[in-house]
Amino acid sequence: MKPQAHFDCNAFRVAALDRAALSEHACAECERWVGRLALREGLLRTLPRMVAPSELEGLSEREFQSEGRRARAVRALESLARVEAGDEFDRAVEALASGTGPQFSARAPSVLERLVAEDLANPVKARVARQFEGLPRLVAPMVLEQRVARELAKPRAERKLATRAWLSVAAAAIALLSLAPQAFERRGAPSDLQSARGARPFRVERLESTRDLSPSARAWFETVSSGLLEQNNI
Amino acid sequence: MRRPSLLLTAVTGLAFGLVGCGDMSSVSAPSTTPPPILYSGQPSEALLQKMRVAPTAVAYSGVRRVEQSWQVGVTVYSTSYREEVSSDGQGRVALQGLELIAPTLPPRREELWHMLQESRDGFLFRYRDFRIHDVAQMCVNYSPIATGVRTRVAGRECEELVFALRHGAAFTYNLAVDRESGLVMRCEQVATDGHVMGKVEFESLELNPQFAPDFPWDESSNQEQPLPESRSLRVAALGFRPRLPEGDGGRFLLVESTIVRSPEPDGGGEIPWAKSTLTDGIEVVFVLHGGDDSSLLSEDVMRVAPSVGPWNHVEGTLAGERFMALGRASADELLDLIASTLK
Repeated sequence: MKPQAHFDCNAFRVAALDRAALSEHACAECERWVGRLALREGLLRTLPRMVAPSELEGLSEREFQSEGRRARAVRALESLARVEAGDEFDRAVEALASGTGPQFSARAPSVLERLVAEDLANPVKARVARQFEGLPRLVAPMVLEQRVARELAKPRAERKLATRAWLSVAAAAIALLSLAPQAFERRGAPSDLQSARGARPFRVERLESTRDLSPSARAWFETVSSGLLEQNNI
Repeated sequence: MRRPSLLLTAVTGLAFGLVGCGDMSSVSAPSTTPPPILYSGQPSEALLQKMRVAPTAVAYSGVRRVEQSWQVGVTVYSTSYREEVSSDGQGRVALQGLELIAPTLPPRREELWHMLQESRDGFLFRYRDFRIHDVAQMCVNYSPIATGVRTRVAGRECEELVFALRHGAAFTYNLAVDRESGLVMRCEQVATDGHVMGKVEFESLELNPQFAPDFPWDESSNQEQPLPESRSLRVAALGFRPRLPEGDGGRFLLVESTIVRSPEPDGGGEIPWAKSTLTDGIEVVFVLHGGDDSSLLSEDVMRVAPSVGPWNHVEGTLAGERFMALGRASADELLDLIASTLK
């Protein structure tokens, strides 16, 4: 095989592993290689799944717990070799201790102190406030403003009556909902989104593609169809 | 597990009364001499009983051609292959894929198909082909019709029969049945729109063949155990109280309940399932209950897989417990069977 051809074959095979650019390279040997690749993939799928030792799960869990992390950090620090400080560093420290060296600012900016204090006092509130404080404030549409103005211009008694009417409608709706939840559930199920079957209603999700099948469903369909999904790559 | 015989007799009487199959108030064992089959509109009880037991009670070996034209989503996929089917008449059976006709696969992938097909043989023998699993229940749900047409398939004289579901939309089965043995020599599965979804036809058949001592009979490998009768033993065997579907009064009749085990999704162990097998006389569906499902959300949701040809599969979590149902029935019927376990 020529060096250039060999280079092309390698490039093609790397692309084949990524399932890309398969048709751009026509070489009998590579076609055979792809065939063997598919076979190996199929055979690998048939191999029994190896089960990790049960104690591994416990060990992994402990390692990822805080105690484990601390212990791991201590172990890592203990394993480090001690680095000797240079003479220059020693002299600088001695000068600082005696007050003869350069003066450093030891205080953080006040804004930083305030932010840290807010975070510690109420972390969630501080995070939410920080997220929203940069958003532009939206102005209500003119139509809405005019409606509010008209409403406020009405006599107080008339406003009260309208409010009562709305409250009555809301109360009736709440009563209806609480008295007949089943009826609403069934009427609200023109499709399969909410299904009232038997004593316990449940939601039905219809998968659109065989790509979304669970492993058990795929295995079942492969058996009953004599491998139709695998044959057709669906 | 079988229902009490009294109930079975009652259902049987009702069934045959409904279809008017003549004097069928009691289900008799198949006679050794075939009854004369004349065109009467309905097949005789003797032939139906013979068809029920023939797949395992007759000693035979033959080559069949299997064709499937199945819709998945909006696409129709076709598969065609030849297989050798054998039975020693004593309950041992074998199914061996001989040749994949379509689709054309590279040689290595075809080898892989043969290997996988070998692992599926037991299931395919029992549940892929047309089979009468329960004559009485079949007569409740289907209208069996003898067309009066006689035909020859693989050298055997056959009676043409048609089985259509009485209520609801489902497949129609057009059969050619060997009058002597009761074997289904040709079966066409036709969808409601007239599309032939599947065809299984003998190309050759030998009755009472000599089998070699080392003939590769199928061996069951799923290690199913019967579900104990006692509630406490059931809980002890499964680790939870099994929920079984109610087949009473519906299309499907509960035939048996067993315990099966499947690997955990994370590979950490096994999940025991209570598996219920139901039949409408011809089709078989399975409903599986797997007990508590702590790995999923507690929301009651069932996921319906897209149909693959005539087969459907639903699975999900209800009341925090795993459920699965699968078979050659509509997804809605499978969902109803699962819902019936919670009543």
